[in-house]
Amino acid sequence: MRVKVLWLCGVLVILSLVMSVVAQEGHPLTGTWYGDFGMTAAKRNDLTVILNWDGKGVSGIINPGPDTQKVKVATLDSSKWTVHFEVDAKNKAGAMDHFVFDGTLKNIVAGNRTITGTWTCGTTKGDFKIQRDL
Amino acid sequence: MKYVFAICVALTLALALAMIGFGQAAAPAAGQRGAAAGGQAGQQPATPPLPAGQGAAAPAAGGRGGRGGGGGGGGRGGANAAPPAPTPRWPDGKPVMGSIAGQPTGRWSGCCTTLPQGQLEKIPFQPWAKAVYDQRQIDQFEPHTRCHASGAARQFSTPYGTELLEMRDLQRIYIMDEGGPHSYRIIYMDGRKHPEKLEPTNYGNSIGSWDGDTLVVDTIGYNEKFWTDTRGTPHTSQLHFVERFTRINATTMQYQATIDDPGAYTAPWTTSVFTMNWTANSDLFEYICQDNNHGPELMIGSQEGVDRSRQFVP
Repeated sequence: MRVKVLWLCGVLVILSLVMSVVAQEGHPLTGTWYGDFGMTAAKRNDLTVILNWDGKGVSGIINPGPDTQKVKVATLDSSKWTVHFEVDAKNKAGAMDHFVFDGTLKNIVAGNRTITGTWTCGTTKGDFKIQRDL
Repeated sequence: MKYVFAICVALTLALALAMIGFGQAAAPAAGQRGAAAGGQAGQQPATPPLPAGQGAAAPAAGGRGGRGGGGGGGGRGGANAAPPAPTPRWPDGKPVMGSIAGQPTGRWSGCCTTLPQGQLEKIPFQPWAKAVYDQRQIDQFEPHTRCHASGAARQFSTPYGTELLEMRDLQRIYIMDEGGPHSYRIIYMDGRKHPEKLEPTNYGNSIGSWDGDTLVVDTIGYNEKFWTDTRGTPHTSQLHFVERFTRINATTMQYQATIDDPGAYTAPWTTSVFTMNWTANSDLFEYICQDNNHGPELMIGSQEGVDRSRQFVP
């Protein structure tokens, strides 16, 4: 019973986090972004990023849930609409890997804008595409 | 002989220029009589000609008139234009901001499609906010066209005007939208403070007070789901928006706003003074934004693609 209640509470917390940032018209990075990343077109991994602008900097988390991690660095260069963010994530062995994402914002004014670009993790690299939830 | 001819030509030109100058000066002087009358209404013993729907309020005005306004009286053909009636007033002397009980209702229209108008270079945008503003001049894909309620100044720049409805017994003012979402904002006039904890909304939490004849409306608690004006002046949920409404005569409302939003600007800034005009004898009508709404298709601009699979539901 207790486990079920805790599980339900966890789901509600995640839902409230997601709901509070949808359909934003403020800072272009603020909101929930979902999509995938991978090394090839066929082999993809889900990626969800929640970002928030507080007036001075961007903070956020990736993959909300049991394995969520804080976004360490997130910046927007509005002169080129380029985005950079870094995050640590657990690998299958349980160790932390450091990911660096560099992308470009497209359809800036649209609610469902996208960020597409490349990522690196040590010597491994690939591409990613995430779209902001409306 | 040459010199005599040159002097004659010079004199003739000077005389002609002077005549043109006098001719041009005369027209505005006549045309601005309305403005002068508006500013000196207190000295006028006679009741000025009144537009429809404002007649009953004029006596209560006590001849206070506008502050040198008379915006409708000047300009071309102004010599024959009747000066606007003075600001209608309640028995306690406060200006009537909307329609008058017992009179046909009216609406305000015009106002502010772009808050930085006339001072864009001076607006203390944060870099991202300026970039977003610039992009929105190209891609006018604003939430209002998708039927979302839009707060701040955007509420006043709908094509069909807005109605200010004063409920003095309830100590609140309603601002009724027409175009877009057909919604309303409440301004609390009972002296309350903003709640400490606010759920961010499109219209925010508005409290009003009087600064002389000016209604000052202080609003916080905005979400980020709308644009503050038609042209996309950016904001964040940290926006503190202060509006000043001054009805300078029966048919003219001055509007000015101060934007304090550390999330989007490096310092607070104040807009120019905008003007709203009164349309008498006009009721709000039923407006269903979702019906035959072509906004999303027309306002895509340079965007590569827009998700059309979602319903536009406010």
